[in-house]
Amino acid sequence: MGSELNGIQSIATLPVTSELEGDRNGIADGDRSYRTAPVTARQTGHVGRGARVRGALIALPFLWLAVFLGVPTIGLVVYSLWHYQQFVVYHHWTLANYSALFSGTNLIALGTTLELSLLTVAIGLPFAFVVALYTRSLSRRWAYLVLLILVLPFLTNQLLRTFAWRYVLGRDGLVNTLLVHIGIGRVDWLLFSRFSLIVVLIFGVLPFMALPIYASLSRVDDSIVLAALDLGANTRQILFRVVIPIARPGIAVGALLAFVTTIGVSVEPSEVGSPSDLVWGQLIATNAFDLGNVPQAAAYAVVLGLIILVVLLATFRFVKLDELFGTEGRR
Amino acid sequence: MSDITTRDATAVPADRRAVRSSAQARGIGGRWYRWVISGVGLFVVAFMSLPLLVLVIQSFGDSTTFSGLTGGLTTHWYVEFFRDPAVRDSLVASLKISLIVTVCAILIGTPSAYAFARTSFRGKRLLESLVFLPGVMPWLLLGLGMSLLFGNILPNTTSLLPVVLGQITLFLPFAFFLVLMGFRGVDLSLEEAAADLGASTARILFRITLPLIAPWMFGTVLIVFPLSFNEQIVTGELIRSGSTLPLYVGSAIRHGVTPEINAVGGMLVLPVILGAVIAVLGPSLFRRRQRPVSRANATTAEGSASGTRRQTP
Repeated sequence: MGSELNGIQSIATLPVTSELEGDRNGIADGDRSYRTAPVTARQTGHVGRGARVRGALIALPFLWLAVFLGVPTIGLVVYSLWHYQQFVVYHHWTLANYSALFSGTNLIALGTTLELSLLTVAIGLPFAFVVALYTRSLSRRWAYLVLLILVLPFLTNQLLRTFAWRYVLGRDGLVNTLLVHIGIGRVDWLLFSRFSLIVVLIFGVLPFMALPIYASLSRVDDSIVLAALDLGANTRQILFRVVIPIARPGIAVGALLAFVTTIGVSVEPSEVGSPSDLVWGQLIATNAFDLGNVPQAAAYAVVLGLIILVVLLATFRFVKLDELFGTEGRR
Repeated sequence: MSDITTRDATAVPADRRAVRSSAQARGIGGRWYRWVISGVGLFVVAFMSLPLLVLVIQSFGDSTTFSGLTGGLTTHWYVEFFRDPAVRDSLVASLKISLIVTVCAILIGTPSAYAFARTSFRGKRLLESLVFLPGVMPWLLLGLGMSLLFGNILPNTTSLLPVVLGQITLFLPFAFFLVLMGFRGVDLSLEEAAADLGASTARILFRITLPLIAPWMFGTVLIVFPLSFNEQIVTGELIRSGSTLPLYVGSAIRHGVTPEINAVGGMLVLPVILGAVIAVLGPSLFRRRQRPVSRANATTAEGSASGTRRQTP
C-alpha cells in the first residue's frame, strides 16, 4: 500500500503547497516545512469541551481495563491470602496457600515450566528469525501470503490445532506413516513426550516471534545492506553487525511474547505432553476447576503473574516499544 | 504543473524499486545463504500449515486415525454436524458472542487510539504499555480473576453477559493496537491539506482519516472475530449456561473422538482459511475502489486551489 499512498499523497498535497507557499519549498521537500502550522491552529481552535471529550475518549479503554482487569487482579491476590478448607473459603488471612507452593511437586513443576518455556524460545527463535528473513526477501504479495500462513493457526481453535498434532505425530499419524513407507519404521516418542510438547509449543508461539522480528527487519533499509556489501562485508558480518542489531527490538519483543505465552499454557501439556511433565498452568486449572480450591489456584496464579511482570520489566529496560512500532504518524 | 505532479508521483517509488531489486538480485549473501534461508523458511511455512491441512482433510474422512483415511472422502459428518441441535445452539451462541465482542472492542478502542495517534500528553507512554497487559498475561489467569469478579457482581445471571464482558477485556488491546497502527500509518499531510481547505476536525476524521484506515479496521475484524469465536479458556471459566462451539468441541474430545468432531474441526478451520483468502484479496479490492476516489478528490482539490483542471488518467 505504501507506494500507492505516497503517490496519492503527493498528488493531493502538491497544488495546495505551491499555492500557499509559492516556490519557496522545492518539489522534493515541499510538503515538510509548513506542516505544523495548520495542525496547531486546528488543535487550539476549540479547547474547552473538546479537551474534556477527548480526555473521556482516551480514558475509555483504561477505565474498562481498570474494572475488568485491575479489580480481578486485586481479587486474585486477596483470594490467595484467604483460608480454604473442605470446599469453603473462609475470610481469614493466611499465608498457607503460599507456603504450600514450596512442596517438592510444585518446585519440580515450576522447574519444568521454566525449562519448557526457555527451550521453546531458544529453539523457536532461530526458526522465527530465518522465516522473517525469508519473508522479507519475498515480493509484497508472497510476503503477505507467508505472514498469513504464520498467523492462521493463531486464529483457529486452540484445542483443535493442538489436537491436530495427534494426527501428525501419533502412532498411526502422518510422520509415522511416512517413516514406515521409507523403511525406517515406527517411532514411539513422537507423541505424548517432551518432544511433541516442545514442537506444539513452538507451533503455538512462532507467529508471536516471527511477526515482531519481521516488523523490525522491514526497517532494515536495503541501501544499508548494499553499503555494507560495497564496503566488503561478507554475509556473516552483514547479518551479525548490520541486520541483527537493527532487528534487536523485534527479537527481544518476540522472545518476550513467546516466553510469557508458553509459561502460562495448560491445554498443550494435557493434550500432547508427556504424562510425567506437570506444568504450572495445569496446577492452576486443576486447583480452580477440578478441586474447587480457588485460593490455592490464586496463589499459583499470583506467582505466575509476578514472574511475567519481572520478565516484562526486564525486557522493557532493554528495549523500548517505540523502537519497534514508531511513535508518530508517518512523515 | 501537471507535469511536475506526475513526475513526483511516479519517480520516487520507481527509485525505491530499483534499490530494492538490486539488493534482491545481489541478495544479502552468497548462493548458499539464499538456499538456507529459503529452505528453512519454506520448512517453517510447511510446519505452520500442516496441522490445519491435516484437520481439514481429516474432516472429510471417515476415521479417527490418520492412516485410517483410506476409505475415501465423505461429507457425511458435516451433515450429521448440522443435524445436531446441541451443536447448532452452541454455534449460534458463539456467533452472537463474537459479533458483539468485535463491535464493542472496536468501538471502545478506536476513539482512544485516534487520540493516542494525534495528540501527546503526559503519561501517554505508560498508558500505552498498560494496554498491552492483557495481551501478555495468561488468559487462564485473567479468566480466573474475572470469574471471581463476576461471581460477586453478577451472581445470578444465566446470560452470556459475563463471557461478552470478559472477551471484550481480552481483545480490547488487539483492537486498540491494530487501529492505532492504522492511524499512525495515515500520512498527516492529507489531514493537513484538508484542514487548509477549511474542513472541520469531524469532517477530516470521517472523510479522510477513517476511509484511509478502512483496511486496518477490516484487518481488526478479521483478527478479533476469529479469536473471539475460538476462545475457550476464559469463555469456559465465565460461561454460566449453554455452550459455545469451542467448548462443545473441548468436551467432545475429552469424551472420546468421533469422526463428527473432525467435521466440527473442519467447520472451525475452514471459515478462518476463507477469511484469510479474503484478507489477502481484501487490500487490493480496497485499493481499486479507493484509488479513483482519491484521484478525483485530488483533482477537485487542485481545481479549486489553482483554478486549472488536471486530466484524470
